[in-house]
Amino acid sequence: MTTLLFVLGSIAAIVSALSVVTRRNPVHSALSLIVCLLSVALLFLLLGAQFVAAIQVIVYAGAIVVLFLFVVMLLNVKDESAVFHSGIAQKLAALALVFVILVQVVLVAVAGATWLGKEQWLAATGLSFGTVQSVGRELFARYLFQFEVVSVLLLVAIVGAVTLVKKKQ
Amino acid sequence: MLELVLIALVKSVVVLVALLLMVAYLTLMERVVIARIQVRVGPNRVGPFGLLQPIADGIKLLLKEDVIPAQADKYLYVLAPALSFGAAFATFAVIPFGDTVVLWGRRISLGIADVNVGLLYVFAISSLGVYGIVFGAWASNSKYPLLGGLRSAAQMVSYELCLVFSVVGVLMLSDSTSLADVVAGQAKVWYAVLQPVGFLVFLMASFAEVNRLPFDLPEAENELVGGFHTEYSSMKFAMFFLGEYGSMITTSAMITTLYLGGWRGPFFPPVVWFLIKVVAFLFFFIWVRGTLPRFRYDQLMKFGWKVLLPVSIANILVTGLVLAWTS
Amino acid sequence: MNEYALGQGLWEMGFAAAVPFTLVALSAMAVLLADLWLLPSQKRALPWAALAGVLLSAASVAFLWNEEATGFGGAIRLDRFSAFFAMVFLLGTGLVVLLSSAYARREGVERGEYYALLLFGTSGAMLMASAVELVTFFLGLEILSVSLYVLSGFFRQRPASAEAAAKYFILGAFASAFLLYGIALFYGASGSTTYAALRESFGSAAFPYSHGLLALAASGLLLIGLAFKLGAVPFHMWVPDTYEGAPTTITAYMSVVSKAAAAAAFIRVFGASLSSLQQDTSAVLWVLAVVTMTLGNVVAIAQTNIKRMLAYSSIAHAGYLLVALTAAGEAGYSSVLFYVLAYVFMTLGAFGVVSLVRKGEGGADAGAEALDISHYSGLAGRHGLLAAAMAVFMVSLSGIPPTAGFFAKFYVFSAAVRAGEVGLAIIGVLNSLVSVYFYMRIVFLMYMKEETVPVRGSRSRAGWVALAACVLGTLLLGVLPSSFARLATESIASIF
Repeated sequence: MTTLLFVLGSIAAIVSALSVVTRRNPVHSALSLIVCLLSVALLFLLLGAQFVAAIQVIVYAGAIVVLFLFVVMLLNVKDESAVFHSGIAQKLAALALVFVILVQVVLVAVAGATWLGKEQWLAATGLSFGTVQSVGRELFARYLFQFEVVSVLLLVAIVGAVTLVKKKQ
Repeated sequence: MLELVLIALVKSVVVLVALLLMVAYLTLMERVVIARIQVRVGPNRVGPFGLLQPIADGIKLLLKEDVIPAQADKYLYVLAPALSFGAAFATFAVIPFGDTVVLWGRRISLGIADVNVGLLYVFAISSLGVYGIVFGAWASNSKYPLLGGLRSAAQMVSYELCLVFSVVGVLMLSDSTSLADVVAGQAKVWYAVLQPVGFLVFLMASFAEVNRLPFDLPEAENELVGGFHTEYSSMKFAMFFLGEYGSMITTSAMITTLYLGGWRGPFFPPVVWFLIKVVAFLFFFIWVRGTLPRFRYDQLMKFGWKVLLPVSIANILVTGLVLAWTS
Repeated sequence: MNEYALGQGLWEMGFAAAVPFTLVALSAMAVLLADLWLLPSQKRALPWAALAGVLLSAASVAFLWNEEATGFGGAIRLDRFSAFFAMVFLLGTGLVVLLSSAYARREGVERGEYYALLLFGTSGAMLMASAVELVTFFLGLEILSVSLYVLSGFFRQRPASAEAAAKYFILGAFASAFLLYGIALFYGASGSTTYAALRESFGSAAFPYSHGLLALAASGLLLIGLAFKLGAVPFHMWVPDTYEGAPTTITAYMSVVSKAAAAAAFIRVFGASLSSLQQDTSAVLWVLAVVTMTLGNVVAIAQTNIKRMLAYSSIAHAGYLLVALTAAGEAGYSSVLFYVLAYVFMTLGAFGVVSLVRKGEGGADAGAEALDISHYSGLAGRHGLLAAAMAVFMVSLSGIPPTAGFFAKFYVFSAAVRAGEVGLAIIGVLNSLVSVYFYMRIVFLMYMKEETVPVRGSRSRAGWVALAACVLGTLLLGVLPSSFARLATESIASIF
């Protein structure tokens, strides 16, 4: 059952991710992006990371893509081919990069499994590592400092955005 | 295993059918209540007291000609109403509408599923609901729908933030994101009493979430004709409406569950209490529609970002301080 | 990594390590708030408020100078190394604030956000130098970068400034993505993000990926992110346009603080934690150093805009820093520290002079910045002091004694020779010779040519104080280098 869901989820994620970059119509790309994000959320669920899955849907699929669409609709971009031209060399370079990244992902997966061993890995993370409670505990205890620093980063981003768009007094 | 699947299946079908019936009679209720507010009589021709009116409406919408504009993006145009409809009804899966009951020797909990991230699930699904409107608006390839879609994209994102922030207070009190636990936590006192500010913010933000007056800017009949669904007709139009009224019901159910003790209450069985509270809120929705004028768009955004959001954040702070003080 | 109980006291968590960072960030917020209540006529107080924040944080660094502490479960570390870099960043920021006080007013950008973002950027840089955990390091880098994206586009109405910000932002976001991906690979391989854990796993013979493709890919991606910040070739594309379009004071800040922060993070990650990968990385660094030095110096010759010329010069200096990083070891890294300190004085000084020189009466755009190199001809006749200061900085940048630049390069190249990189040292020296041409051309124009366009120098007192400090620092480091070199060596010793 889990394996079946995993296969379905990952196929959906890959196909939709490909379709994000191959669609000419930006709104269709956005739709594919939503599907991709949802499939990844499903994969997170299968890994027992419920909190991350929910946040993935709420923040990325629910808010960020809406803002993408907002901009696309506001600018009324009909076809990106008018904006973008890419030569064959660029496409080949992109393909090579994708290949390298794929190889790396496999390597990391293997590395993680062999170096720590599956049992150790599960012991280190625990079965409940993806619940709201344990994510909260990690965030507010072990990563407290990083959590607080993120607030500085967000403040900088807000101040910066306001500075750049504010009307001149 | 098979039994569990069967139980879940039966529960889903029963809830879905009940919801669809509720939606049908909600439209009737809205028409009658609005009519009474405006000192009219309202529908009373079809069946006794007009009780068959929703059925007649449904048949009429089904038989109408289904028009797809020539310049529309057909794929998205068809997808949008389904999205809107689906999102509204999927939310109900985690809302508990009664305690555990024993039927034919089996203990069955009333509520399709008790997920321990239930609250997050609700927000995840409802945050996807906006796509029905946005895609429908864009796919129509027409000016009024596009304006409606833009408005709704901005409005939904802004108000969803307030919605989520206002619920954090409840979360802190109940110590759980499972809706069953939230209901259990209100055995003594309703959270509406402990979280009056959060309750009010949630109530106001949910009006914007379901596109109801005074926040129905995406539709705004008098300026945008019909907003995002201007070009829709027949069953697709009906599905948008099913979605809208469905999300009204789920929102009422959410308010009931989060702040008014869910299915808890004396004398009557739990399901009845749940229905009473939900219908009371539906009445409130309609009452507000009959009373308040529409906001202007900039007022709406200002209200969301400059009033509701700071208030809901302050609410979290105060709740946290009080909890730290008392523990 | 320890698990902390909720509600534990801040000091027990090692808050001491985060005090300098916190003070800078808090004073940035104070400046933002102060801006709300200040009347337009009182905005002159803003730079002084920012300066007070810088001094406050510097005082805390001085107070904690001999302390060592690791904070928040191995996220951030206070030692001589982070204290040294904190002082460098604060020095740079303080000087930039002084230079900005008149510049910002004249250009009409005297706003609280300007100084607040400067301080925020500094807090990010300090975090980069003191982080001993990859996520903390990344957050520091992002705080610095986001502040700089906005600051470089601060002249919103000018297309050049908007172009500077847009190019920097888009390429910077790309570089961050590479960096983050590298971090993810390290985390995936070793199961932890702390530098201590990285050293343990990648240093151990039992670790199956200590030298494999994975380690190479991860450190390569991390290297790309840092090389971008450093402005090394081939990740330098943004440098000329951004340096030219950004406000001059911001360009000065960018070239000093951002570069030093990248060098600090590089030493912490590659020098102290991934030293087992040194053989693999040094080959890449060797190539980077050579192309960066050469391209920077050769292209600088052809420039006619002084900010663009200094941009290419800063690329070349990134190359010298890379020579020191290739040399590695305590000698190599301590020469980086000395170089960074010297670089603060001479580069800030040079950009400081540029920010003070204005077009004089007569032209249609009187009062605008005089950015063309030809504007500097005959400067000595009209503004002897300004020209003399510029001459000192140019001499120092080209590495001629008795200035800071000479000893900075001397330490770098001797470290390279000691590490066996004789070829690299020779290429470096040849490059310095090339650079003498375009630096001395400015001096030549100022002293040997007649004035072509009338220019005038700003009479900003704060600006002059900053320039004087830069001249003093440049000469002091050139005359008495040994005590500062000892300081650098001590700081490096604290992280090994």
